[in-house]
Amino acid sequence: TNSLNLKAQKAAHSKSLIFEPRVAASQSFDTIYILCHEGFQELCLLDGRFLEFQRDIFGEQSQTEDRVQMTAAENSELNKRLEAFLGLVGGRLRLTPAIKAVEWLLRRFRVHEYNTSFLLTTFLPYHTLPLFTTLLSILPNKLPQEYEFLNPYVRSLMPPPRRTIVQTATNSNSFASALNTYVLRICKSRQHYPALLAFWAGIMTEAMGGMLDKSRSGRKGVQEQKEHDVILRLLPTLNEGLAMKSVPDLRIGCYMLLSVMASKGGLDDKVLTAMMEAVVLGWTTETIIPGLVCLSVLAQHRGAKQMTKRLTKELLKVENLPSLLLQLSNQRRLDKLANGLCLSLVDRLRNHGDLRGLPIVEKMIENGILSDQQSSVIVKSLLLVAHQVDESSDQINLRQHLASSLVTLTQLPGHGGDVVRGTLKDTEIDMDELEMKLHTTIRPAILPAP
Amino acid sequence: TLDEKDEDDDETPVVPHQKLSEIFDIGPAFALPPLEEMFYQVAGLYSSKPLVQSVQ
Repeated sequence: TNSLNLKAQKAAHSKSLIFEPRVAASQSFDTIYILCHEGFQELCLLDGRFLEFQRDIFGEQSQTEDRVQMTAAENSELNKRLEAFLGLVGGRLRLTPAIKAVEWLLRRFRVHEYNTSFLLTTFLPYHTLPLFTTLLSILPNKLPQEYEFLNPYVRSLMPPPRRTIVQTATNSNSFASALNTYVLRICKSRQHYPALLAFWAGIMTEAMGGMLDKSRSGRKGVQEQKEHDVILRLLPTLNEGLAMKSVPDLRIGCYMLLSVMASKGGLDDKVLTAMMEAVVLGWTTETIIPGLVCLSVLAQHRGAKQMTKRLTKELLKVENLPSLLLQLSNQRRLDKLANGLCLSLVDRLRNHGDLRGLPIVEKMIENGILSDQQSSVIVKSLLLVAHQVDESSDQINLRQHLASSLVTLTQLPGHGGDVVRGTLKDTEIDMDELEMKLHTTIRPAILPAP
Repeated sequence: TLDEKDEDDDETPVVPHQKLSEIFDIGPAFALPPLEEMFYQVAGLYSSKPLVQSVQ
């Protein structure tokens, strides 16, 4: 058995990302260390964050460290350090120094055997490169459950196509959840890089579309349950992703998932509202514009019209909101978002005399962002607020602003103005009385008296 | 109330899975366009065309 053991040890020692098995098998740890440490030092020059590993997993003493001799606690501590390093090196795997450094983790600490899943996820965004196929060639026979889909690719030593990864994320909860958990963890430790987030967002967006499509089969009650399950599985990732303000791409990835989810009809009003609030609550200058696009998609699927107070309050903080909405409305329909906002702004005007919304409402109507019917309802509700204004001194300001807004709206050129004038014509409110109350003439001369 | 129902003229485009793949499956992850750009493409698939009434 001794010779068998020795043979097994030699075979294990021959697993390498860089060397042919026969060469690798004959290398001593000090030879490997010199080469790998070189790579590590170059990494340190590229990114100072690597320096924290120079005393432990890349220290001189690491040459004689053998995990077989370590206690369980020591092993688990070591795993943390190895995974911290792998997370950080993930963004650099196309660079030779990075491969040299990872080689040390492989040769000395056998990350391919002890940290298979983490290592594979770290390499996964590079699944098309020969590097990934090399990794496949040195994996242990039994893969972790979430990576069993790679078995055929291990046998053929072919790179798995993206399609296969999407299909696996669609059909295997364990893989989808491993990928989500990995990405959140990497972002939390600020080790994210663009390709990882683009890879994750793309795979998960497509997979989620696929999951929701799949849930459409069977009886209606069963369908709803399945759809519900899909959403429940993904909500924790979305919540956590949206809560992490300082990783813009993670947020944008979440916007992507949410938009597809809402568009496939998977979200009820309560969830939609909660998600809309989550979108605005943590956004930053980098994520406001994509955030508004996401809101517009979510709002198009929401049944309730008026926006919540919380949402309105956050939107009012956005600088240049009207011009941003205007700009976005060139490419897509965002009438429901704009309408929900306008309704809520009129509400604030009525209940709190908050005038900040008036210029926004004017812009939305002026530029045809609302449908005719929506515009008309908003104008009617403005008239109603004006009608309810009393003569008390604290309403003077409100009265003046409302009067001026209504005059502006009535005099708008083009279609927007036509809709406003048409609404005035139809209103049951006594316009003579209203004009007297507001001390102004709202109806322009061109409008013949009814 | 302001929240009354009116006719719902909203139609979300039906997007075949293929369209979504076309946005992402264009190269390795490290060669993809910025995520924000891809997000606009995805949102574009699922957004209705802008209201055009102002251009009458």
